[in-house]
Amino acid sequence: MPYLLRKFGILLFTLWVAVTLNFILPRLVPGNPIGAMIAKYQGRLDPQAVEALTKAYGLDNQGSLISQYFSYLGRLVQGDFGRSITQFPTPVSDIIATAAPWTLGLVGVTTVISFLIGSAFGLYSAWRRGGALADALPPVALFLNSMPYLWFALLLLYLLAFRLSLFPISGNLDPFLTAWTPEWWSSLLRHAMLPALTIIITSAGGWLITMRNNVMNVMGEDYLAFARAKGLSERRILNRYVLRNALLPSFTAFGIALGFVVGGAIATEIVFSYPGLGLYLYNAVVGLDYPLMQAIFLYIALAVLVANFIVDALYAVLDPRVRDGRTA
Amino acid sequence: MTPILKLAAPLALLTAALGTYALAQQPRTTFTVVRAAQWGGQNLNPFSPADQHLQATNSAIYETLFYVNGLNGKVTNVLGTKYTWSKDNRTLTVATRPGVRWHDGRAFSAADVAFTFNYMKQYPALDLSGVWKNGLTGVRASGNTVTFTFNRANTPIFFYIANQAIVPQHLWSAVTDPVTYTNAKPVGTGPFTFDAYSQQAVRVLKNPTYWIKGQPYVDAVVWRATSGNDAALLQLLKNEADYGYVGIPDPKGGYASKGPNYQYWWPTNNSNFLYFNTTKAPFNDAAFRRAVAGAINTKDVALKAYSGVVGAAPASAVIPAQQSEWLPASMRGMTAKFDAAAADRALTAAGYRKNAQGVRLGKDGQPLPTYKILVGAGWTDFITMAQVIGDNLKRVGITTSIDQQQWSSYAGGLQTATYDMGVSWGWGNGPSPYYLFYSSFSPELSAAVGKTAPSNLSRYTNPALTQAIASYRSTSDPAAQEKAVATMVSTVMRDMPWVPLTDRAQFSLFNTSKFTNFPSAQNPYNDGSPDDVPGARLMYLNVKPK
Repeated sequence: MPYLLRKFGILLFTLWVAVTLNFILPRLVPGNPIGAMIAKYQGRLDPQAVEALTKAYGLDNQGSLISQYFSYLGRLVQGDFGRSITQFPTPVSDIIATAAPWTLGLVGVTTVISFLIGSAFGLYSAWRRGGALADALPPVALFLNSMPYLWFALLLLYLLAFRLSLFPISGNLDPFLTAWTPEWWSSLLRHAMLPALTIIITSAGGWLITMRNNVMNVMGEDYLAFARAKGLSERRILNRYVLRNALLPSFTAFGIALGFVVGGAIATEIVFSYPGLGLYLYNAVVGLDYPLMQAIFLYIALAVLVANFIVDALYAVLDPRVRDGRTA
Repeated sequence: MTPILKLAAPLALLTAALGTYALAQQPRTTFTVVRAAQWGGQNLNPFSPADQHLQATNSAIYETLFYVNGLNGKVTNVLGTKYTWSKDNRTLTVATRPGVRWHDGRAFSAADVAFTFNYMKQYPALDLSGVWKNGLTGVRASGNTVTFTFNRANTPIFFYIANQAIVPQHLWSAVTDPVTYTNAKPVGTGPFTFDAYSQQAVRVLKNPTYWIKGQPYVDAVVWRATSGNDAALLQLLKNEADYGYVGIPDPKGGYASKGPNYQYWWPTNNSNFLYFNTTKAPFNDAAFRRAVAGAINTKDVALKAYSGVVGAAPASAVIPAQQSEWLPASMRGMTAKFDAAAADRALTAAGYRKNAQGVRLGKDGQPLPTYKILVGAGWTDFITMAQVIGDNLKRVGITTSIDQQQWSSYAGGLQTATYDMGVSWGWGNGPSPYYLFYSSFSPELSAAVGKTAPSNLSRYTNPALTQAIASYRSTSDPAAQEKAVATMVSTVMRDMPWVPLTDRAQFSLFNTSKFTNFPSAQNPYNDGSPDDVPGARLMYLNVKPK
């Protein structure tokens, strides 16, 4: 299958570019991690610590840039990202292993939910055009979708967590619970509710509009008029002709959105102090934590690329034109 | 908004259902500290710098020899009961406390103290306060005393020796990778023992065999991590936390006014400065700097940046708590003289004339370029300060622009002297004015332009000042030290390598609904500082359930 092979080659090349950029970009940022740390303590960390810290973090005699690059690539192949600077001496891979499940759980699940909800409403809104609810949906969706994400998160935090005390203000769990007990699950759900709502409400609107547009496009096609003329049932038309064709474009966007899950909904995680990859990425950037930053960026790049590849592969299955290599 | 309203009712039900599960068994009285910072791995290595180890480590689990109050220099005994300097100030003798036990039941002794310091010599990456680099040559224990010997007199080093967390020899002597060691089961002598860690909270429990009988009064201390000040403030306002170190713009209106239990104590412990890069013309000219300083209205700077919560910095840069002890009466409470007209004349007199358009010219007759004022990106207080300074300087014909840089490049710019002017805090403060002047102007903390200097940001040195620093550290006689401080202060006030702008305060917010006995202006037993310095231990020892 040359189509997939070509796509795989592109995946590998892009990955190499990402890895290399990942190496170069942090080094272009002025300043050094020790300076960042001293600044963070605003006069409370003794200047004498600079030398000891430089030694402790292995930032003294790092060798030339080229040798750093190759040792970086070498360690990468072995899955070794080094030790975090802001959370020294924890290895970066440990941090990612702790943070990733929270992001995958929260953002992954909510991305799927908002896609399903949004698409379902989009389909409904286009199919039942003219009905009161169907016509009311798009403006509401546009409104929700264009609402500043951060502002909406803060609004929820203020109303539901602070004023009404319905939900915890921050975090992912109440501390010191035994995992997998009912208390633990209850705490988990209560903590996830607000960040999940933020993501679902602000992104479902986008899916709704996309889906609605796709359905409307399909509904204008000649083959639908033909299907109707042949007297096919509405149900069969909807399932067999409208949905399948309308889903394809949405599907690409969904694949890419899934790829971005790894990066997490950074703003949401920050507002709710939800300790996923997004929050750690933010902290890593602020603290100039190169090893952690590089690892998270790499995972984001990898996830997006792999998601794209899978979408491409599925396209080949779903769309015969792609399979035959007529359109790539 | 309809979907929100629709969701609200089922959500409320769901929450009510979920909320019926009680929290896991909790200690009877838990003192909760909220941190506007995130932590990651479970690292309880007391040799790791500040936020790299968990907050409990150096304030609840491990203890130091003494606690030196950073505000007033008062020394409290901890594991040490007495210290004396020899006549030549090259030997420090510390008596250690008898009857103290490690958390595992073994007896603490002077040998543990000697071990701790010798261990730091063996692994220089652990020596964060640089005691071995600064003249310590040997540490020996004998009976209940530890003797520190130095190759030169350096009495201010006591502050760092006093603050060093002491570790048990019987456990640490086996640790050969102390830099990366995470010390998952910490054993200290402190008032609390380690209990539990999670990604967002750490708990310690009262040490039942602690050497102070009857204390601590609380059964547990919990540190919670949040990502930012807003979330931390909310937890305090919701009575979910009892203490927080949260820098909010208006502690009176934004916190204290919300109820009688919301109290704060923000003692001044540092100042903000406008630093001049003295490696660049015209900032290398003391007359120019003095004139510029006179053109800046620091009262206005403080008022606009902090809406009246903190005041203008004292011209001497000596914090109020240290003025009566360290400054001659004439210098106490002195604030900068602001006089734009006089500053204008002084600039002209110093050789910087104005042209017909009112633009200030350099000594070469060319108009002065626009100077950048370096501040941290988005730091509204510093940006406001830079704006006021810019307006002030415009009136004497000097144009400036605000240079906002991200955290790290901000620090990097200051440390490598690649800036023109910059707003920052005093880099290094301590229990006497010496520490600020030493960090800020000592030649050994400076570096060539482009190289990173630890803390001499203005790159200013002066033989008289260097001499005063040397004479301060060579003596333990308070009168001689006071004289040296007076020289430091008067030299800096004459040469103006910086302009003291505003006070800086600690940001302690208390929620007194469950506990009493917090540190306060009336009872400043510590400086209300964050929770990983030896002083926080005193708060955890002293807070009492109501």
